Amino acid sequence: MIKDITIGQYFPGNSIVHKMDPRMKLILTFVYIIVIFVCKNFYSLGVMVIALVIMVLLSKIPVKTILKSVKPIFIIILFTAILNVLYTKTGTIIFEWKFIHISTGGIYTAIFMVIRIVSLVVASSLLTYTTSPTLITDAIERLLSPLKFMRNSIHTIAMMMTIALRFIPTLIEEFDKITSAQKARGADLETGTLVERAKALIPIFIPLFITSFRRAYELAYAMECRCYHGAEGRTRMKQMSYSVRDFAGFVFMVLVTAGVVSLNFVFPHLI
Amino acid sequence: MSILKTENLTYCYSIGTPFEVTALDNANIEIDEGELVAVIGHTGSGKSTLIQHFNGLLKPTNGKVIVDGQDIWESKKSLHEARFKVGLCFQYPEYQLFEETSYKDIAFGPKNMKLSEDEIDRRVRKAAEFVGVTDDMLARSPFDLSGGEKRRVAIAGVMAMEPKILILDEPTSGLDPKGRDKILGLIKEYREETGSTVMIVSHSMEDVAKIASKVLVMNSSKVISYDTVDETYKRADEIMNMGLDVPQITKIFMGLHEKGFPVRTNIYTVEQGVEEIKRIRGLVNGL
Amino acid sequence: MEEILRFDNVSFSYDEITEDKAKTEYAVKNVSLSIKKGEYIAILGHNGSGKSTLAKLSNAILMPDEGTVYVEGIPTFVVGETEEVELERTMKIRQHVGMVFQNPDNQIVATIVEEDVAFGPENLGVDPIEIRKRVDESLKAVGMYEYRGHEPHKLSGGQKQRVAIAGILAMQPDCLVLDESTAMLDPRGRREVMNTVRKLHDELSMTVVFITHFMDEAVTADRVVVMDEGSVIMDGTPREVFSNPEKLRSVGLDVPQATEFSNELSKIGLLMPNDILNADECVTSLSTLLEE
Repeated sequence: MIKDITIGQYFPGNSIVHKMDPRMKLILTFVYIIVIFVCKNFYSLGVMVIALVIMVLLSKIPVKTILKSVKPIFIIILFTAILNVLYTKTGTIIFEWKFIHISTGGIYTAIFMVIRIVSLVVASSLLTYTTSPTLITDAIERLLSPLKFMRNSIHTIAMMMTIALRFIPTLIEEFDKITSAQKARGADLETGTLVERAKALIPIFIPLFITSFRRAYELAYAMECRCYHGAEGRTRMKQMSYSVRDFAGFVFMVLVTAGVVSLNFVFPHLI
Repeated sequence: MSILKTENLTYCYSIGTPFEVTALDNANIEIDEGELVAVIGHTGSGKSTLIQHFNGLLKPTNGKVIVDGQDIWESKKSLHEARFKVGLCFQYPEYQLFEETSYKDIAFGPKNMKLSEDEIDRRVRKAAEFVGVTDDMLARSPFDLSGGEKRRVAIAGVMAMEPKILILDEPTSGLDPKGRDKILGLIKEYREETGSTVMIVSHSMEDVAKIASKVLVMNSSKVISYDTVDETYKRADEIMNMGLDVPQITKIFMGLHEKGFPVRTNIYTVEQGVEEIKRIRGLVNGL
Repeated sequence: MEEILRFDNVSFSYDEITEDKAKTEYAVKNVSLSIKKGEYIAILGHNGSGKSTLAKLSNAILMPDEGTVYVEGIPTFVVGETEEVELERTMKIRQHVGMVFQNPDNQIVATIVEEDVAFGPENLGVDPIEIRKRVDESLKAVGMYEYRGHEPHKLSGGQKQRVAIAGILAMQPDCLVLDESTAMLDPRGRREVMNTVRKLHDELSMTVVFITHFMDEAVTADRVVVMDEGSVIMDGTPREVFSNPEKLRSVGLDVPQATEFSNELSKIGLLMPNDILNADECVTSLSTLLEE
C-alpha cells in the first residue's frame, strides 16, 4: 500500500554502525568517497573494499538489502563497464571483430571502475541505511553550526528539510486520493496528447495545492502552540556526542587511508 | 434484477512481496436496483477497497465485478462505461474541488462524459437542486462556501453524472449533527426521486439505520452479511464485537433482554423502542 | 478551587471591526467563562458556533478584540510590550495551555514519534536529559511508548492524535484543550482519544477542555458548556444540560438517545427520571419501572 512507503532508506537497527554519531558517519562517508578516488590499483582498492565489507557486516544490514541500493544504477555501471572495455587498449588484445577490440587492460579497467562505483554507492547507502533522514539533517545542521553568522538560516533550512521529510508521504497519499477521486468523475489521465495530459493534471494539482496551503497554515498554528520560535534558546533531546566507537571509526579510516596511499606507492600499476 | 454483482472478488496489495495483504477476500454480493445500501465496517475492514472495485478504480486480483449485467473488465469499453454507470464520491469530497465556480466544478463529470452543452446545463442544475445549492452559490467560487456547502457541491458533482449507482464514502464525516442530518436527508430524497441505487459507506450504524434499506457488514476483509436493517440488528452484539458502534437505543434493549424482559433486540430508533415497550408492558404486567 | 482560565466579556471577530458594532459579525460574542484547575469541561456547539475560536483565544493564538482572557492570571494580550517580554509571556501561556487540533496529520512535525514529542520541550529550552524523561513519560501516559521509534505517517488516526497529545504533555501543561480532536477519527480512534483524555484527567488531574459537536463525548464531562452564535447559551452538569433536549435540538445538536427515550416513555405514562444519560442508567430505571 502506498501508505507504507519509507522516505530515504533507513533500516532501523541497533548495531555499532547505527549507534555511531551521525556527524562522524557523515565525515567518514565523505572521506571514504574521496579516498576511493585516490586508489590507483587493485591492491589499494582491495583495502577499501575490505574496509567497506567490515562496516557492512558490523551494521548487520542484510547483504540483499545492501545490493538493492545498487540496482537503480545498474545501467550506469553496465555502461561504464562497456565504455572502459571498448576504449582502453592496453595489455594484450584478446578479442577482435571489426572495430571492436577487447584487451586485458580494458577488462581490468572496467572491473576496477565497476568496483569503485559499487563501493561508492554502497558506502553512501550504508550511511542512509543506518541513519534516519532526520538525523542526517540534524548532523549537517550541527556540523555547520560553528559558522555562527549563518546559524539561523541553517536551522531554518534544517527545519524545512525535516518538515518536508515528514510531509512527503502524506502528500503522496493525498495525490493518490485526489487522483482516484477525479478519475471517478471521469477524468482521463492516460490518453491524449502531451498537452491534453498536462491539462488533465489541473484537477489534481489545484486541490493538492489548496490542501497543502491549509496544512501549512494548520501546522504553523500547531508549531506556535508548541512554543516554536526559531533556533533561539532551543535545545535538543538527542545530544550528539562522540564516543569510543566514533573514535575507533575515525582511527580505522585513518589507517585505511594510510594503507591506500602507501599501496599506491608500492604498486604503481593498476594490477 | 441485480444492478451490481461480484463473483469471488479478491484483492491483494503488494503481491509477491513479504508484505502481501489481502484487502478483500472472496466477496460475493448481489445488489438489486433501487436499494439504499449501507456498507458498514471499521477502518481497514475492506469496505473502501470493495467500493473502489465497482467503478473499476481497482482491478480485482481475482473474481469479477458485474455492473448492469456487464463484466466491467471484459473490455476497455465496458470499463469506460462502468466509470459513468457507477458514481463514486470519496470521503471529504470538498477537498477535490478545483474549478473557478461551483457550476463549473459540478459540470466537470458531465463534461468528461462528452455530453452536449444543453445536457450538461440540465444535469448541473438538477444536481444542484437535489443538494440545495442555489444559483447564487453556483456562480461563486466553491472555496468561498462553508464546509457543509462545499460538501454538497462536491456530492452534486457526482450526482450530475446521473450514475445508475451512486456510492458515497463516509458522506457525513466531520459534519455536525445538523450538517449530517441534512446530507442524509438529501441522499434519501435523491434515491426516492431518481429511483437509482445508492450505497453509503459508514462507521455509524445509527446514521444508516435511519435511511438504509439493506446493510452490508464488512469485517477483516470479508463480507460478513448482506441483509435488511431489521435482520442486521438482530446481530447487534456481533457488530459491537467488531468494534463498531450500535445506537444507544439498541444497547438499552440488549440490556433489557439480558435482564430477562421479553423484548426484541433489533430496535434502532426511539420510536420503535417506545412501541416495543408499549407492546411488552401488557405482557410484563400480566406475569 | 484555583482558576486556570478566565474569559472576561470576550468578543472576537475575524473581520475588521467597523464603527458600527451592531453590523460586525462576531465569532465569539461577550463570553465570560471561568475554568477551574482539574475540571473536565466539554464545549458543545455546531460548526460555526464559535467554539473553536474560543479555543484559539485560550492560548494567545488569537487575541480578543474586546475583553480579556487570563491564563493563570496572565492576560493573553497586553498593549505596549517590548517584543521580548511579549514572547516570554506568550510562551508561558502556551506552555500552560496545550492545544491539540482536529487534523492529526497537520500537527506532527518530526519524522519519528519520539522526536515529535520532544519538539515542545526542545523549543522551551529544556535540558536534554529532562526532555528524554518527559518524552518517555508522556508516551507512556498515552500508551504509545512502544511506537516511539515509528514513523507518524504509518500510524492510525487515533494513534496520531495520541502522539499529538503526548507532544503537548511533554511541555507539562496544566490544561489540555482539544479542539475537535476527534472529528476526523473513526469510532475506534475516537474511543482511543476519549479514553486517553479521561485517563489523563483521572490520574494526572489534568484540566481538560474538550471541544466537540458529538454529544456522546460531552456526556462524560464534569461540566458542559453549550455555544451558539458565539455566545454561551447553557452551562452546567451534563445532567442539567441534557435534560433540556428541545433547547439543544434548536441549536442543531443531538441529545443522547437514552435521554430522548426516557422522555418519550414519560409521555406514555412510564415516569422515567429526566436526567438519564446513558444506556445502563436507562436499563436500570426502566427495569424497575417495568417490574412494578
